[in-house]
Amino acid sequence: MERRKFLLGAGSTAIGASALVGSGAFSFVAAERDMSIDIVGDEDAFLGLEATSEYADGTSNGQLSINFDENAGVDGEGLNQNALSEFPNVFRITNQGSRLVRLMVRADEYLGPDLPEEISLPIEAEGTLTNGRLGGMEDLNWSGRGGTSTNDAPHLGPGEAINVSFRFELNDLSDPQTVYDDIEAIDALGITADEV
Amino acid sequence: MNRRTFLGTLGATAGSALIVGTGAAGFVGTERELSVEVTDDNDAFLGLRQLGSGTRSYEDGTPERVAFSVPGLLERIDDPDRGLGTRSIYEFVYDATESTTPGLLRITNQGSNEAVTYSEFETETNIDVSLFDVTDPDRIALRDQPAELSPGEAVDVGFRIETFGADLGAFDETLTIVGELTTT
Repeated sequence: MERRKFLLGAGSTAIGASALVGSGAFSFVAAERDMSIDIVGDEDAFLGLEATSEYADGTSNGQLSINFDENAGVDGEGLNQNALSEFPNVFRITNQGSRLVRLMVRADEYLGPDLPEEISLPIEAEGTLTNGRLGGMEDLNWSGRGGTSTNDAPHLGPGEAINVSFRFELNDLSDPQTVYDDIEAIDALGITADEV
Repeated sequence: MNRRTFLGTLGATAGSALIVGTGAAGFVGTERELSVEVTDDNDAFLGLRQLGSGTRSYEDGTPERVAFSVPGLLERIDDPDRGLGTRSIYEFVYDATESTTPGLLRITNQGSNEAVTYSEFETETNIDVSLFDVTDPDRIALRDQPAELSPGEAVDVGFRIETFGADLGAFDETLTIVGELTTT
């Protein structure tokens, strides 16, 4: 190629390319950005979970576990059939985040890969707000179970906690053994805190 | 375009360039002017701007790039023990301490054509991170339903972090934010 022509061509290319870039016509951008994530035990998590009875412990990889079976820290190994059993203040949930949240404790909600999509059990979790509000009212007990309206759920502000109790109603069932098998099938509770 | 396909194409192109450089003519060396400016994330064609003052998202470095921290940098100072629980799904719509403006990151199409944006996240730690439009009541992940942005348009996004199967610990991860042209 003649040198003069070559330079002319190069100049055209440069201007053309520059103009193209300047027009902002990107076709694909993939920007990699750093992200630091700390995963901690339940007691220190944004949604703090703390064992407060022999029926709960937090030793399994920092995860709270609730045990109404032979793993409970008591002599008994399970629930009585055909009975109503209540366990007060089994564990505590603390809002250790920065915003007001609406709290739900459910046994029938899918939350992750370890739970079947539908579980329906006569299990009930209830709590008393220690320093919180319930729909703008204070010092009220809250009782929630699967399917309850989210409007009934307690609200926890930053630093506020709720003690969760359990009630198992196995006294009005024609076939308690079937229910017992279902309870064995529970391997997790879904605890949900939604920002409000 | 599928990202894997795109990267594959890039590799093939690079291979072609190599062939040209070692061409049969013995040696050909030509230079062309190429004007490239690497700018702050705020001013890039795919504009990235951190939102809120709680330092879960922030901008750092020269040129400035957005980065993310959960807990936020200030939260880590206030309580070094704080963090995410395991076997959980966390969604962050607001930065820490932020109460009025939702979103941790604003993605703006500062190019000249219609584009979509979404995120990608790959790790060996079982953590999963996705972005969602904070105005979407269903909070569908952008990687499943990319946000469509005309030139000048922006989407404010929050984070969903899933910790199922993840161990306790501190993890340094990389979040990829993609802008992809949809019209020419």
